[in-house]
Amino acid sequence: MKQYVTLYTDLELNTPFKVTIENVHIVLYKTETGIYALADTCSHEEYPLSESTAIADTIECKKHGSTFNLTTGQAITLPAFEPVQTYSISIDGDKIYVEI
Amino acid sequence: MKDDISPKGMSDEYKFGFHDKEREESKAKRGLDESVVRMISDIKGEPGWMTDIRLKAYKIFLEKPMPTWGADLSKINFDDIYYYIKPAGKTGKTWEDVPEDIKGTFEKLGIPQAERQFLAGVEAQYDSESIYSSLKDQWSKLGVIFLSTDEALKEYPELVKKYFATIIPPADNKFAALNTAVWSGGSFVYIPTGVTVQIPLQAYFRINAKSMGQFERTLIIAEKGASAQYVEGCTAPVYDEDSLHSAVVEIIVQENARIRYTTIQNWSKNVYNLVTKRAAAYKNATMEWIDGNIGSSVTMKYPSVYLLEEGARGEVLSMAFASDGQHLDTGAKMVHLAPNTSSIIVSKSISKHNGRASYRGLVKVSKKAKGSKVNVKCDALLLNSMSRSDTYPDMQVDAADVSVQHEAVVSKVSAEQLFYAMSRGLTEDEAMALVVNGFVEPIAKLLPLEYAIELNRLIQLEMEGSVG
Repeated sequence: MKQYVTLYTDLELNTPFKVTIENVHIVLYKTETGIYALADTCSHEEYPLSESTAIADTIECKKHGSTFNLTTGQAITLPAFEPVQTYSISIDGDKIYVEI
Repeated sequence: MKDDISPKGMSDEYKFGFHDKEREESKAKRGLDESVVRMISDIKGEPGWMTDIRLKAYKIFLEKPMPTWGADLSKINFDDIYYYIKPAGKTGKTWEDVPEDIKGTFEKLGIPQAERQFLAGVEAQYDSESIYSSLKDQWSKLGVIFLSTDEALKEYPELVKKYFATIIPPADNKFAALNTAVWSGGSFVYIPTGVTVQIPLQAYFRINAKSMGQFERTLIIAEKGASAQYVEGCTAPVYDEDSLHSAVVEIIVQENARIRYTTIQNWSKNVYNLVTKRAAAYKNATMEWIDGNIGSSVTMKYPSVYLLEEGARGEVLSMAFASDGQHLDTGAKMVHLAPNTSSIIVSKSISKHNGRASYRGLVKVSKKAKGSKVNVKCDALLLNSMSRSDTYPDMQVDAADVSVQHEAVVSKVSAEQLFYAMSRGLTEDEAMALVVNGFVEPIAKLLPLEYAIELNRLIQLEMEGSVG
């Protein structure tokens, strides 16, 4: 399902943008390398990733420092080891859509 | 055996409690702020990325609350600590290069002799800096790297950058953040693919200065099929002001590799010992932590192994001897993340007089870890009625087809045991020491011979005057 979430101009660089689609909490990040959407839950202890700041294509959970790749969701550093769910983004003009 | 024991004749003699006159080349002011963090990085001439990691970690340290569990840390005064003291002189490659007074200290501790006789390489750290590091040629020719982490950062920056803080990120806990902000020294070990270092690599950590914080950072990488044993020891002078030791140890054990990391912790009883140790073990790799804790006023240390790929194996053998005024909160953490992984935790604790020893362990078996095996055994020995032992096991099992065993035994030394030994001519002290040495024997027998002898001797010292 493709869901409109916000306008491109509403996203601030490296700053989390939280949305809830079908009861799924998702966080969007616009960084210098692209726009990413992922589940707003660290796979380690379920802390909200939207508390953190993204840098390039990684995000580091504020709670225990686990780092995730924003494209694949894979954990790069311990203590997390499971990936975080990621979602496809599409842009139509100024509108941003998330596929869930 | 008498039920309660007076401290009569209590020795607690600590032969490493001497100190040298402080002769530093650089010393940070007391307390911690951003300028201290920058000063440490500047003195070391570090690349910008490391300075950035330090500054970020410093902010995390400020934000993170103190742990609300475990030992009482309320008396730590972070403003009263020296976070960096560089002794005068430079790192030596031979003992002749080491300044005379420091050399004298390490000779008293038996380090040069041990190197000649038993070791593949030695690193010695004095306060904040490594003052000696050496690796025998036969191992360096095979590509083995054994340096202080500072030297490794200069000589192999890409290797350090690839692995640094990937196993223990600064935000992992408050003390990991502190270490990342102000780390200095520690060991960097790299064992190339297929290389087996048959005799131990040793590091020796000595705090000399008063109100000192020692924050070594150790990083060990064993490539596929590699194998090594690393042994560390630590002592400090006895002062009336507390010192802080907060190390971080990260270990990567690649496929079919094996690392055994042995610690004989004998800090003086005015040291807070708050350490984070973690290993990542890949396919069919083996990681063993052997952890002997005798000293410190407070220890909080839980070596962990993340079993990331099939067939990985982790083992923690932990021994703690808590005497008067000590709280040794030790344990282990095993995280099973792949099929057919296995782990063993053996914890042996002895509490004397009002000493307190705690086992705190976490075993987590994920859904993916089918066919895994876990065995946890916690034995506590109480020597007196006022001694205390606590066990906090946490087992989280999400897979169905696994074998998990947990056994905990708390016991007192029995009158029969003492009577039997005394009827063979031993004094009561000697009989008690015999029982205690027998209790820790499963761990002592895994140590290199000279360490096993030293551990037994330390226990003997701790046991003097324990009955009266």
